[in-house]
Amino acid sequence: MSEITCARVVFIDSEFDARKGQGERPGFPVCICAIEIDQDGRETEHRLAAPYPARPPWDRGDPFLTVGFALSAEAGSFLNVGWAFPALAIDLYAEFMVIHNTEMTRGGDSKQGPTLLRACQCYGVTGMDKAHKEDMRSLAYTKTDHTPEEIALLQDYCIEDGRMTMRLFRAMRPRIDLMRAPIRGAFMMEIERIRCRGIPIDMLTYRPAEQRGPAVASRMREELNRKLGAQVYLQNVFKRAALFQVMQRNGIPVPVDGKTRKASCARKLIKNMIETYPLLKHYYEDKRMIDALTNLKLEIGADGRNRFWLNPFGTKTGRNNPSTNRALFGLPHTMRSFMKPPPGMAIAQIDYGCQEVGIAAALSGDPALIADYRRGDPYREFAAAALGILDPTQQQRQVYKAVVLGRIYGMGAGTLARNLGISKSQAQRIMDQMAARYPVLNAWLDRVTTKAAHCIPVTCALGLSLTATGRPGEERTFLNLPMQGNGSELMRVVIVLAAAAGLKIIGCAHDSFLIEDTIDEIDRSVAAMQEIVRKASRDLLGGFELRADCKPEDIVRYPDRFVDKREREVGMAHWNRLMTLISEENDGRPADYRHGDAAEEGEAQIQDEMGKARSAVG
Amino acid sequence: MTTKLHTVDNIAPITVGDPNDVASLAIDQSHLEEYANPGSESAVVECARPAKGIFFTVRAEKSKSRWQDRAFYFMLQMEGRDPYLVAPEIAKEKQDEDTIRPVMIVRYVTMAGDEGLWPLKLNPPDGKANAWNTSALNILELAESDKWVRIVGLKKHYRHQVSNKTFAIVPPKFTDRTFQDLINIAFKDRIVKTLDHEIWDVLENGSDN
Repeated sequence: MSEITCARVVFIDSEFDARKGQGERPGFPVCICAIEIDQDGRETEHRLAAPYPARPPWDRGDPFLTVGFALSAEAGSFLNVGWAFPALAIDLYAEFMVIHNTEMTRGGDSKQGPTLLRACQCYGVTGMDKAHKEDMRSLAYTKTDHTPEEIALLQDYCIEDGRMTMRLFRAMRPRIDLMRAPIRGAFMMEIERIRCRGIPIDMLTYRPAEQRGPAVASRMREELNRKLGAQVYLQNVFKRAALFQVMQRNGIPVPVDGKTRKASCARKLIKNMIETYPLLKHYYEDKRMIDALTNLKLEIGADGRNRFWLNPFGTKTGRNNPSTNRALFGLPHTMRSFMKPPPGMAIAQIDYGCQEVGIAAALSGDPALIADYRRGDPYREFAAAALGILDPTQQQRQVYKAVVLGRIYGMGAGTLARNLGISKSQAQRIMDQMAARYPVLNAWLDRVTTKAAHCIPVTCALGLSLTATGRPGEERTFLNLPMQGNGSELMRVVIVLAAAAGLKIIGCAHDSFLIEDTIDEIDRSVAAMQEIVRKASRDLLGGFELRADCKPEDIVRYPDRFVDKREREVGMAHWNRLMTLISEENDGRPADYRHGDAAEEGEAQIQDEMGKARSAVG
Repeated sequence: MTTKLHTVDNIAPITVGDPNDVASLAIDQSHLEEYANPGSESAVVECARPAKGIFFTVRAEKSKSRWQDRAFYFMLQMEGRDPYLVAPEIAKEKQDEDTIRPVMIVRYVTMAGDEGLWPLKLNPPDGKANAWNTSALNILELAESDKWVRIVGLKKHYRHQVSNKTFAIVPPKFTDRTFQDLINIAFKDRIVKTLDHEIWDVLENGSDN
């Protein structure tokens, strides 16, 4: 194991000036303070304010460990003053989220991160008066022209915060995995760099969508009612019972929530059925669009870039959990086409192909699954073998894909039958085919279930773990943890490695990464990023290499806009419809919300843009 | 910049993993196949009651005169600090200090293969038993009869549950380390052997960290 011994530990905190609004880069730091402890236990306080030195005074060339709480904030301050991120950092926020993953997600999938005061409280560590903290924060945020006395006050407060962080570190230290914590620390700082870059948004199409969104949503509700032949929306309010009636009338089984045992139309349940029932697909896609348009609030800065909190470690599998209406990637895939590189620039999406199946193949060591994965499309390979044909149809592939993923997620034959619109015995037969084709995987999944059932922690490659709490049947939900949890560990490693290689990541989803570069450089950056994505999998999965996919159409160059794969498959039909509805809501004209002379010029530009948007990708 | 010359223990030096060498830090995922975590020994040993929800077991002592995996100690506990061990002669000197109390520290291992030390408070010699202490000792007795047990409730006294998994199905994986090795790891810099230890100053005058 590669280890580094640090003779000094530095506890840092910073305060930045007036919050300039959502979607902006963080403000310039009013002060950056640190408490440095050397190996003789000697303590040095650093109280800095503008003008800042070229590098932190505690960075003297020898290895030192930086410790903070929610280091993304400090990363913003470092970026503002032009300091490099520390080589070794531990973020107590990230460690808290990992150490307490099990109890924080009891009864749900997502978790709310703690404040520093809350974390201190959990560890019985003396905190700080909440009112004083609020006073100091508002002093930092509400103005930009702080007096020397105010700066001194904020520095005192920063040092107090540093001391609190030190006490928390001492309390948490026995539970922190010191070997792997610096990877999480580096990740926490790098996500601020990603946030600062932001995702470029085509404001000429986005602003009209935001302003006309509620009106367009209203029209879509009426259209959806007509399509389904029922009042699923009554006076703009969604009626679950009406949807259940539509489903029953059309022979579509109504899913039952595993926890409540009641009929449910929750998104995660319906999503698994949409490939089987076209009517449900219409409903699902329209409902997502309606929900997004009703509350379209992307956080966009004055430079037209979407910046948002990634909410790292926000789910029990360690995945990020950003807001669904403030982050572009939280919106329906159609709306990702609001993303457009600025002049001279290009954006590329690189993703792990069939990531979860690849991880399952690597961890279980199933030779048949490994071979199918390496051939490119494991679902097609399975379908072909099971059906005894050379070229299965898309629908056949979809059925076998659902079975493979369903088994990994712990689905039973009953749920699969409902999702696929087949009988339970047919579903069971396909599951048996799967068990016969991938016996090693099957046995491995059984062992993971047994392990979880005995409340043994299931631990991922960098230490993220989850322990069952003993509720009956709960162990099945643990089946996908090795896949999704290790997927989230991979995402963190890729982000750290890409930053070290100087690649400009501007966003990420569970298994994909967006990079931005000049049109001239994008191909080189894509190749470098693909190698990093593959290397991360080799590093974490004992040498097994996952695919790093990036097709030519996954790279967009100005003036083209980004188009999600699923939107490409339907020829941009949803996007074009959205643009048409927005245009119609605007008296047949696309709107320009700029003032003065720019409006006329903008009008022509918008007409042009909307025209291009409608006919994009052929 | 100000420099203070008071001692801040237990912070530096510190050894951490190199984030540039991820491959060497990755936890071998073959442990998913077993009932226990990989064989590597944890560099951290906690001295605390086994966490709720985690099955653990202890080794019974064969001889009452020569215990292998448990011992009596004086432990000093303060809120917000890890516990300290106090040498018996020092504990005697400080017998009025109510943060010090005798405990029996017992080695345990979880079903996942993590070892720890469980400090069990002892009932006072005045004969008035405490329900918490008594229930903890009962669970200890159960665990040392070759069973996986877990603490499930914390109301009035500890309650427990025994796993249906026997040792034949999930054998306990104690490491080769001695009990003293574990004590040394758990209390590395927190063994109080003198009266000029910084903790006495902290107890007398307080501390700002």
